[in-house]
Amino acid sequence: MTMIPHRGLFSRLLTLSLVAVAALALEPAAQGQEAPATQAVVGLAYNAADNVLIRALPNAVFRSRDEGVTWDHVGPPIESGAVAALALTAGAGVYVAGPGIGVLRLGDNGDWISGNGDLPSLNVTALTAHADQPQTLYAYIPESGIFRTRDGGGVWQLMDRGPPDIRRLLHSNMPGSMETGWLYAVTGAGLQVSMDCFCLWRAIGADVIAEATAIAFDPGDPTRFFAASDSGLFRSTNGGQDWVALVPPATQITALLVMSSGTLIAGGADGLLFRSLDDGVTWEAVGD
Amino acid sequence: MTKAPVFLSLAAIVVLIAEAVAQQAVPPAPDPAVVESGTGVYRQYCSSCHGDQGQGAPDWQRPNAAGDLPAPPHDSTGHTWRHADGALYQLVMEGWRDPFNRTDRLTMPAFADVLAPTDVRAVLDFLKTLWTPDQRLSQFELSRTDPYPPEAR
Repeated sequence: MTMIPHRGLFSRLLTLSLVAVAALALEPAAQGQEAPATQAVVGLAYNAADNVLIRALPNAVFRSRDEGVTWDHVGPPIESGAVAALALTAGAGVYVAGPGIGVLRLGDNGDWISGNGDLPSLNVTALTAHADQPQTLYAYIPESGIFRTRDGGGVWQLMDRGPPDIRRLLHSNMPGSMETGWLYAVTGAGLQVSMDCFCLWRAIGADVIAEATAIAFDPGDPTRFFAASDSGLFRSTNGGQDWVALVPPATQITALLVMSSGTLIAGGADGLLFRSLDDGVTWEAVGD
Repeated sequence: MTKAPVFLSLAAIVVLIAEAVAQQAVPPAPDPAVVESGTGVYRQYCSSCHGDQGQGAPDWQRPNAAGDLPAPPHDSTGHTWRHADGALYQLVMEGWRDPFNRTDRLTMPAFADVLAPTDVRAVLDFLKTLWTPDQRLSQFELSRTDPYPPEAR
């Protein structure tokens, strides 16, 4: 072992200070503490009945009961893998999914319960909850396709291969579907939509939105959608057929949410949240 | 009385019940007379849009010049089998407009004033003959909770 040569008291104090700073810099984040702000927001959800805002990062999920001023860490315990998606069911069930962790459900006691059922692998990279059916969710496994459960994660059925490279899934109850709603997919090749009978996937917004990163719809008017890409933020008032550009907040948007009040929330690659009360015209940081 | 005959009787009952359950899990064979009637309905009212063999309009997955999706296939290459009997019946009777179409026209016209309920049932039963066994089974399972309405049975 190489000894650090000492050349007097000042030198020893300086050395100890440098060692202490280096040790603090290398110490991993402790459980229960706020995650580093450099982690991207991968999912947002809002429980209107309880006024609870939920934010998911790759290694943690947080809940806020005061509109984002303070946050409680609620897990899940992750030994390997990461959270890639967050879903809130019509019955206020909280689910997360991600490669290496599969699908997890937040139990009433704060524990996390497996929702993997008979899924063929834990490599779930996208998840969404049916807008109206409390026990129905959709999960995407890249090597297999889109699975659906109707019992909250006990039994999963492979429904469709889906378009390639799905990064986000969103179920909407926009009227006009032959079945019970629509599935929107953020893919590496852009936005795609299908009725939830999986009858036909078609590209939308290809002329204005490249490299989409997030999508959300207004629960008060399911024909209104917001989508984000590396190049900005966009709004549609006809289910995604046509889009207009908005001024995005000062972050690279990785997650979007429209609350029941119409408030638009954007989560960024830097972990920060922004809120718009005027349909995306102006933004303010959440928590300030 | 010995226990053996009782045991054998119970075993036979169990076997019969199991066979009955197994038969319930597969779609019933279509009535040939209904299918023949449905074939005629299809040729007269459906084939001009959905193709004489149920193959759909050319390039049905892309919007046409008017911005509307053309008629899809009804055979195994389409998605008709993904809908329950009740949903298909309603769609034929009431028509449907794809909200992603650019025109205001109905994507699928309504036939309530044209076809009797049993005619709609017949043409749908004909379409089922164009599907694979797995597709028929899947559609049969869907239809358990959304069957034909009483007037079409």
